[in-house]
Amino acid sequence: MSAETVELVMRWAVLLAILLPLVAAILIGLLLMGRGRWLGEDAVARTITSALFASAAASLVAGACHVFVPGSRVPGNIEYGDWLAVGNYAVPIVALVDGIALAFSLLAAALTALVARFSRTYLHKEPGFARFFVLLGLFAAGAQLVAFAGALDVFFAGWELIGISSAMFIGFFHDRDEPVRSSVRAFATYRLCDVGLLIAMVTMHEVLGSTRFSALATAGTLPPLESATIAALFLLSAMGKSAQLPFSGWLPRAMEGPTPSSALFYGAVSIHAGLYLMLRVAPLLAEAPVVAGVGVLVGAGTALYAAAVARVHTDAKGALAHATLSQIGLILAEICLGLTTLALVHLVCHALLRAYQYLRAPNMLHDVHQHGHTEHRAMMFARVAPRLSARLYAASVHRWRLDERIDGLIAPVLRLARALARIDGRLSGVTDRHHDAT
Amino acid sequence: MPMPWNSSVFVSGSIAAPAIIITCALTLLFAPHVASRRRSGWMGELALAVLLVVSLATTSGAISFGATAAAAFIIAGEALRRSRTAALTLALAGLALVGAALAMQLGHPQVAFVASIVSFAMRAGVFPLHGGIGSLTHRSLTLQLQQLATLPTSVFVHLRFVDHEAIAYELAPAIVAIGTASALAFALIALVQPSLHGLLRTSVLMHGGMLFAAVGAAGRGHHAAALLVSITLGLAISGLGIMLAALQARVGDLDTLAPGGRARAFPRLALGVALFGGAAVGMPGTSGFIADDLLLHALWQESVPSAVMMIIASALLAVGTLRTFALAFLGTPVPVLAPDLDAAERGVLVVLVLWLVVLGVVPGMLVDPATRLLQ
Repeated sequence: MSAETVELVMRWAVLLAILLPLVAAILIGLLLMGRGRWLGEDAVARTITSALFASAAASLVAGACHVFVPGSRVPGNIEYGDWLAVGNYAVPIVALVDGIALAFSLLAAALTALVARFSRTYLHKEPGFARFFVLLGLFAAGAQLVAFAGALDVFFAGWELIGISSAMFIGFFHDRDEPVRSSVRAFATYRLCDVGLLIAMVTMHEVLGSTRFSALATAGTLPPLESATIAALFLLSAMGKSAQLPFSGWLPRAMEGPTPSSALFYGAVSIHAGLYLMLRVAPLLAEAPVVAGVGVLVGAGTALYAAAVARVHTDAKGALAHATLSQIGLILAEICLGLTTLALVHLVCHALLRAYQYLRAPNMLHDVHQHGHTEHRAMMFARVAPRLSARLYAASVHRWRLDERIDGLIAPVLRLARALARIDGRLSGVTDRHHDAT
Repeated sequence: MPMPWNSSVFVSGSIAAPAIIITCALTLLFAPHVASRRRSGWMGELALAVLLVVSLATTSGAISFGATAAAAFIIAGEALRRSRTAALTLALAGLALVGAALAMQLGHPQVAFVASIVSFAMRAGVFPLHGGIGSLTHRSLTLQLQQLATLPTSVFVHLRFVDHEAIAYELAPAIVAIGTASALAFALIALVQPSLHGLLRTSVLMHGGMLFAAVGAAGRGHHAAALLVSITLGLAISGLGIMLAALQARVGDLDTLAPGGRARAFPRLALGVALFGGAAVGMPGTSGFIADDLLLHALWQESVPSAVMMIIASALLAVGTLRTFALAFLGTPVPVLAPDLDAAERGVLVVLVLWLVVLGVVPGMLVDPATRLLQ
């Protein structure tokens, strides 16, 4: 096979991996909004699941082109033209196909397709069945966009799609108040941490002349302060998406969603998206040792926190969420230490294991009810330092009061907002009048 | 290998920026009428449509500003019965535009620039001049939507005739700073809004600040950002307004609406509010995403703190939007007997979303010819 043919196949494979789930989700969404009664569960599930398996196949083809065709590897950027070009500013539509991208793409596509197949039975006759599959399609498109994005603008579009679908999955059972509150909290954390990614994106364009990930190869030419600032902004964004300290509070709340979405988002793909971003910007981290050090501390701290909380959690999904978080913390530390290959292997294995564990959680509860709990003996730590152990236990039961601490940080902002609202009310005088909007 | 969405494919001589802007403005102008199935009271819209066409078609700056001034006066006259503050604000904005027209006629484009900027500050509702535009959201949503529909045309007229003056370059940092501060203030206020009406009002005013900053940045050559921000403001906020008017027609006053789940009773309406709310805060796939991207790059080149503040403002508005949406549509279901969106409302929803998506996916369709024309 000639190099041109391989490039053409890969170009279309990457495009199809992204577009197939998106088109299927939009199509089903439009049909549901138009004449929803015509669409049965089977038609919805079959359409989306087929698109997801086709997307996984396309991702596999891209991987095969990259790995198995001798002498015609197609590393680097695949250009699809410009989304927008104004003067010297352009938003390129570019895919970056390398080992990291293919690993994450295959992982996301395969797990999404399997979870879709699992959900077809698991969510049978559940209210919101069709909505679940439409969201799954949107999420899959976002995950593929993130995996293959060669420029930050495209990456951000996928990143936002993941964030929006994630918030919608958390609030999936929107007839209850708690999932809705959790959804708003998770979205707020995502969006406020995304400020880091947006600022990093604009800064990168200004100082490196491009938002392409390949431009980070020249990060060594930047002044130390600039590279450290951009790296810190990326780290902030990744901390929000991957629920690292101090933003870990939203993760246990995210378990309000259906079990298959918890498996996919908070066990397998979405929770690892922040780590994938850090893998992508690893060359920049190498130029910013202080930020890398902070990343190691954050990762290690999160691992310790999550391990402690996981041991005292009484609900299965909550305990799993914190167990996941402890490994995520370790992977972040590995990336920041420069062990990117180890981190990638760790990430893939961890995602596979957690997806399985989340999907099996209801069965595990069934087994526990059948066979009873396993008795745990006190740890050596509890015998050696009982008072410290008791304190740690109490703190972990309350999840170290992370939510309260974050609320305390946000409180002044809300006070300022209320003060501004009062000033606005006085200035415009509309708050105490009768309104007669047409 | 060029892909089919490469903007150059779509940019032909026949599809020019003014044509797209006027089509968009006319859509915005008549959409509320179509959605509410009103059979009478079209004369005001028709007059506004003629004036918008004139302002874009003419090559004379004086006539162009004169036509936009007349449009402002028409809306001010309509507003007089609903909100005197809004009528006064719009009349003052109209007077400023008359000043701009006279200045253009007398050969003083720098004076025209200042007058045009003053009129933008009033019509965009820049803090603390926002009283009139803010009250219009509560007192007459239809008039608010009309005045939003005229903004993209005004922006184009401003960019075309007065934005290349030296004073535009000199005043750019100050205008950007004022607009950004206003956007941040209203984004913060949006965080604590208890009602959908409050959300709409603060969204209009936050985007007004954004537009003012974008118009300021345009003084240093960033025309595309100003155009796309104005069109997104018109499409997304008008769409949001139309959806909220539809909700109000079904459940009564939105200011006293009790929290509770209405998404099950009104799934299409809830989707409409979510889509327009999302587009207003830069949802990918809509023109809001591109508009935000362009604006941030433009602001960064003028002032780094302004760009950072605008990013924070956008994030805060997104959180405020979801919070208020959740209050009105999600949670414990409330019994509702009214039906979901009817055919006319669904038609308007589809058309406006299509505009947002087309401009979001193929922004070059507008940006390329506009940039060529304005340069």
